[in-house]
Amino acid sequence: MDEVLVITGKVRLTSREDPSHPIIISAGQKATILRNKLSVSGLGTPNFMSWKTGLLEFHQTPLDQVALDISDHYRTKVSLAPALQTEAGVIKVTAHFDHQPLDQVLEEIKLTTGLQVKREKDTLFFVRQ
Amino acid sequence: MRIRLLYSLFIFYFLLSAIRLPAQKRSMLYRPFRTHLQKGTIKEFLDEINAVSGVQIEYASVSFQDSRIISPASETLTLGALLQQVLSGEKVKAIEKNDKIILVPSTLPLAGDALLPRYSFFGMVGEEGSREPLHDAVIYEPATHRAAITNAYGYFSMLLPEGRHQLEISYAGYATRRLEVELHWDLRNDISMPRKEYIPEVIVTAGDGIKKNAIDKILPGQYDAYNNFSEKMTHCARSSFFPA
Repeated sequence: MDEVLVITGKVRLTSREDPSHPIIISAGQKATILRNKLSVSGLGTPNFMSWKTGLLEFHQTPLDQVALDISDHYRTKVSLAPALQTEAGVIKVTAHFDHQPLDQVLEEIKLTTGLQVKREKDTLFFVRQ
Repeated sequence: MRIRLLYSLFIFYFLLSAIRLPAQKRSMLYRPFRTHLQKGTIKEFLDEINAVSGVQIEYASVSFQDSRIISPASETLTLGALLQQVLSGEKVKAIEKNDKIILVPSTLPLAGDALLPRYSFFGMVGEEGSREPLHDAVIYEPATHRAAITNAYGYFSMLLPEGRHQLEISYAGYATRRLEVELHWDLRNDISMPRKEYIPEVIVTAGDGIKKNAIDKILPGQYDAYNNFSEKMTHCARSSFFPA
């Protein structure tokens, strides 16, 4: 899967298989190529630039999205324990991380949510104790 | 000459900056902050703090009912005082970590003054007119049972949470003073105590309950409210010096 995210301006994309139908995406959109199919959607998370800015911002963000953004930013698999999946949307996190190491980020989320973090193989899981 | 003056001025400012450093380490709850909201949900108040105050508050929606509507009862001047009103009664604790305030779910509701900044209330207690310091005068807050006692110089100091306090200052033989203070910073307040104009007469009489058969050993003419005890003592002393 490849993605193109546009912050300012416009980008024209054509797929190699179908050069006659270019698509144009503008600021605030992203295009995803999955199995040679181009699809356009909104940016979703505001943290797509965190790799550059070092900032992770969550504003009433559901915990599963928080886990995804942290996974992307720190290149570590972070997920929710299966028992928590159902209530992931209810747990909404408001936090602001500025160039903080992963262990501090996890510690702060543990504190606000009252959850614990367990490591299994190469994945970190949020669990309820 | 001018260079030396500049040099000493430089040293002076350097020292001044060294003195001010610890003050900056004070809790984030002491930061001055005024809300522009008169009424709003807990979430709206927290959003405003996060956007405007420069202090980040982190929380999860599971910790408390963030849609509860709050209208602060009194005007607050610091972040701590505002948070205290906004989170009043919620089962939450505030922890300061990594330069942020983190709201942690708790089993107990937030205590009435947990987030309030504390200030020093201090001063001298002296007699009205003469200004003679009063040692061991009591400064007492009936509502919270907090108290302080003056030292030999009449000085007292106590830490009180931000807000209005009603205090009583008392000293034997002096009229009790009542004082209302509003703390938003460290406050000095010297108190002068008026002497009681009229102290009713008190008669102290010796009881004879504790002494065993005391009456039997005293001759009738010796009995007196004040000297029966000492008479007995001298009698005993005499008998040991001149054994019979």
